[in-house]
Amino acid sequence: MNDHAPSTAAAPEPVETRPCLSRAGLRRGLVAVLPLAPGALLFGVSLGLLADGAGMTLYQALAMSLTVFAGASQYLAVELWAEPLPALAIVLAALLVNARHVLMGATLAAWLRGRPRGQVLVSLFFLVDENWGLTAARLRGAPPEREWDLGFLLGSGLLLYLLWNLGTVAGVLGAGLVADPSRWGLDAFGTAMFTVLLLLQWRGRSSLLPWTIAAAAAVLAEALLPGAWYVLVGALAGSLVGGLRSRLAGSRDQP
Amino acid sequence: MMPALLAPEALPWITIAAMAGVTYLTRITGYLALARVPDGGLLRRVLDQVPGATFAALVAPRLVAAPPEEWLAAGVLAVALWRGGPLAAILAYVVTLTLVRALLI
Repeated sequence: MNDHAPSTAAAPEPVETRPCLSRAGLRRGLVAVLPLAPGALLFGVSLGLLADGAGMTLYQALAMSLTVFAGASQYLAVELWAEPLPALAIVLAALLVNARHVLMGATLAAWLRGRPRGQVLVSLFFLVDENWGLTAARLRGAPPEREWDLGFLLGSGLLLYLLWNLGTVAGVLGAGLVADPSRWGLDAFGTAMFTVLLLLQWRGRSSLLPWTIAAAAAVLAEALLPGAWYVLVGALAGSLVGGLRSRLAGSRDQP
Repeated sequence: MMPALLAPEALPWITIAAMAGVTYLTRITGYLALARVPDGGLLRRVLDQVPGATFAALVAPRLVAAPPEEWLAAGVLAVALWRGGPLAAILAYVVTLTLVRALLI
């Protein structure tokens, strides 16, 4: 095994029994994601309501949640769902909206290397914004808190997966009971969750510049470009500027 | 060509399967392409900034478009997160939003 902990060449850690996917890690992930569980469930319910309104059957909505498991792209699919079905547009929209997963996976690549490939490929199916944000925050902890266990990512992902699918079914089945789902303000829940996940990435004043660049670029791109490009534009602009600044500042700005 | 796949009833299922396929590809591509990122290099430093930048990019347009009571709620959320953790933060956000809407609107 080579050095797995990112950017800690100067402070060698005690070698644990690596690679690791343990029940304790799964439990840690599950507990860490609990605060976000109500929001995730409501996200799923809201998707189910909208899917029913768009004419999807229960089995189609459930199949989508079970196999795609990516909120934003599924909301977009439901939005575009119509007769005749714009299949290509829906699939391309999913590719675009979920392209940020490539960046997310890349940030975890160093953490994942050296592990059994099967474990990694299964765990990555359950990679979503929420458990990625929690894992990223956790990877930056001081050595005793720093997460090595793959179970953290997988356990938090599994709970979100369960809630997402339960919510989808509940939403489709309950659609007849709700007059106007858009009045529930479920969108505000999304803002709250993403804001929590954003603030968990705070690492002092060095975060200000990349966050400001990312926010400004995203707002600008959202006004100028169609669809979900703004996420990628903002994420790339902010992290490029932040990374370059960190490089210029030298090694004392290590994460 | 397989006639069963061309039936109109099959199109929703093909669409969902294709969505699932491209989405899974996006999830594994970063890992497969960058399994050997050297520590301490520029790429590593850029990737370290991706989480914060991604959530900033997701949140900023929402907040800009949101009504003022959501800005207040986001501020309360930040304080609650700092003092009490993620659950307190989300609860504080929902409570603030509900109170402000009930009292002022």
